[in-house]
Amino acid sequence: MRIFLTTVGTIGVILSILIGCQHEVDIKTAQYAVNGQKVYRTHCQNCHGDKGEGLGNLYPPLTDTTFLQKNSDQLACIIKYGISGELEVAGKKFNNTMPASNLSSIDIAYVLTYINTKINKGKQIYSLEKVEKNLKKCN
Amino acid sequence: MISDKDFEGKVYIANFFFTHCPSICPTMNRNLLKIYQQYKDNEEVRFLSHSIDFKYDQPYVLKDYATKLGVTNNHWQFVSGTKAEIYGLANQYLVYTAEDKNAPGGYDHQGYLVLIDKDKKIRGAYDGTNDEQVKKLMNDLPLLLSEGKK
Repeated sequence: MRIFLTTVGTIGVILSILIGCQHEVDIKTAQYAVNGQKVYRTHCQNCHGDKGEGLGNLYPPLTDTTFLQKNSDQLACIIKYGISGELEVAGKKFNNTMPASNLSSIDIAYVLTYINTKINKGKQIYSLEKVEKNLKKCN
Repeated sequence: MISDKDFEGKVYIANFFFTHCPSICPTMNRNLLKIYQQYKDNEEVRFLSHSIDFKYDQPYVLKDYATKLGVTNNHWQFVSGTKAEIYGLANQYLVYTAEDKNAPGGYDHQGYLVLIDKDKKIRGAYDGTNDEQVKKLMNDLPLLLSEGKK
């Protein structure tokens, strides 16, 4: 009986730790998204729109999740250093210059998390580690 | 070439922008585009955007910008000119414009959408970056169009 209780107790503790961690990740994601909204409004919204809808054939939308996934490792570089030349997003061709933002790594992680979870319906955080790793490989 | 004649007897909305403006212009023109899409086939309404970047915004640059923005007819014109012409015009529309190295993109200006009546009088100025003000402009435009028709 005692062994049984201990086992139940241990499982209970492990479960609560797991749930606790799960919860913490969500809070962290939410916190990134809130900070990301501020960054987005200041640096992105004018061109890309408050819902990430873009503007005609001038500025691409940020709602093409296939594009975002495919280019996931380039997003930090694009935000930090800008981009020019032809891009195909959401089935439309764009050829314009996006200026460098020179945002810090943490602001880039915030804003990418905002784009992932608020502009789009994703659940995942875009971590600072991923931003830092990808920024080392910018062209 | 665009002249007064193109706007004779028209109600029109004027603004000042430049094509590679990173700050208020995209928002202002996104809002103006919404009004344009509603009124582009209305013969009484015109749109006139002045570029304050007299160095870079040549006619072909403006044409390309207009097409990409989604302007499909000549009811929305994009114009440029010499610095004196454009900045002088801005003063007549009571809109502040200036070359400023410290402003994003190199030019400082106000994002007003200026509503002009058929007698070429200014009837209103609305902040083109403020949704509430843009809504007000959308309400005022049909009122102005119905003026004198009763």
